Amino acid sequence: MSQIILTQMTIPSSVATIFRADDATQAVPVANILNVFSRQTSDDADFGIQTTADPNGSQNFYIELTNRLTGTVTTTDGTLTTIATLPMGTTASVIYLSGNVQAFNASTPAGGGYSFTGAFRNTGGGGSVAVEIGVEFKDQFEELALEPSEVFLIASGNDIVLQVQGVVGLSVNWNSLITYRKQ
Amino acid sequence: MSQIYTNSNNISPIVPSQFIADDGNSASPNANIIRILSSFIGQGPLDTVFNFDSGIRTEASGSTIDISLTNRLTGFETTPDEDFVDLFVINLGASPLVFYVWGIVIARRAFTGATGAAFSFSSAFRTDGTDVTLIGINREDQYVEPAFEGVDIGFTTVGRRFILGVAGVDGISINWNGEINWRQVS
Repeated sequence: MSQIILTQMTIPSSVATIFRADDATQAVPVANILNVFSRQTSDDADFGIQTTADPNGSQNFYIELTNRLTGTVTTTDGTLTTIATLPMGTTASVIYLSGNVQAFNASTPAGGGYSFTGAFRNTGGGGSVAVEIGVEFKDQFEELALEPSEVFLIASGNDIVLQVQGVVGLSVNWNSLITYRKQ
Repeated sequence: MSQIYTNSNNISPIVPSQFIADDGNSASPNANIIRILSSFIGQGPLDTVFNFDSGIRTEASGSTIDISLTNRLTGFETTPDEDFVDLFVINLGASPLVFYVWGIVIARRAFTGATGAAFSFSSAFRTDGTDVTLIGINREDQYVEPAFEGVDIGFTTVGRRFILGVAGVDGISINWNGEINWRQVS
């Protein structure tokens, strides 16, 4: 009895099956599909950009702009309203931030544009408290109907808080951007 | 009795054959190559279609994934004299919106590079979909070498367009380069 055994083994060239990110998380294709998405994060990273797989081990690979947060809110009166909150963390640090706010009231219609810079320090540790070093409001562009409106940047607890104040009787849509550096 | 065994054993790890981007489109490798490139979505006139809150966007087409910073425009022009030339023409679209923009413009004498200037600015304006209402402009920095005295930047609105122009100096070829970042709310 004679036997001939032919084995044909095709070894593919080196191909990626795991996509590892800056933070050592890994994205793994599912059904041969890898999602390459983008987003922003308030994480502090010196480069201003980072990659991550989220959730770790999933098929989602993200490219993120860092040190950045945005917010939206609608006001209908003159109540101070938080639009964005940046926690300072438990490590003692100094943050310099800059940003802007846009406001739109459709019924009048009227608009506004604001810009600001600020520096804050926190005390660190379990009972860390944010301390304002300085805040400057640079642009305050407002049409007549929005003249009573304001933007505030304050320290609250261990957070930096951006607040907006609208106008009684007007529905105002707000949009904000903050970028920061931390040391 | 003769026996012939054929063992075809293809090793097939799970590898991506599709890369899906933010825009929902997918890119597929061509000759086992996928291109991941930095790009510029919406180059040219500002278009509200290209407004993305995160400031970053991925798009896929063919075998390419483009990664772009969004809500950002750049412009280049050369002026031979003191006449204003449009550096940015921002078409604001047909929807009511408020914009806040900020940016820089730099100027350099062509060929020799012997003279320079730089400007920064910010502005807010509103459109009702037909016309633009200027809410405010702040010309922040204006650094100009003596030989460039007279160079300037200017802002105008025409219809629903916001225009940033640059003006040079008679008889001097000047290269201009600008960047605008923008945010909007509806």
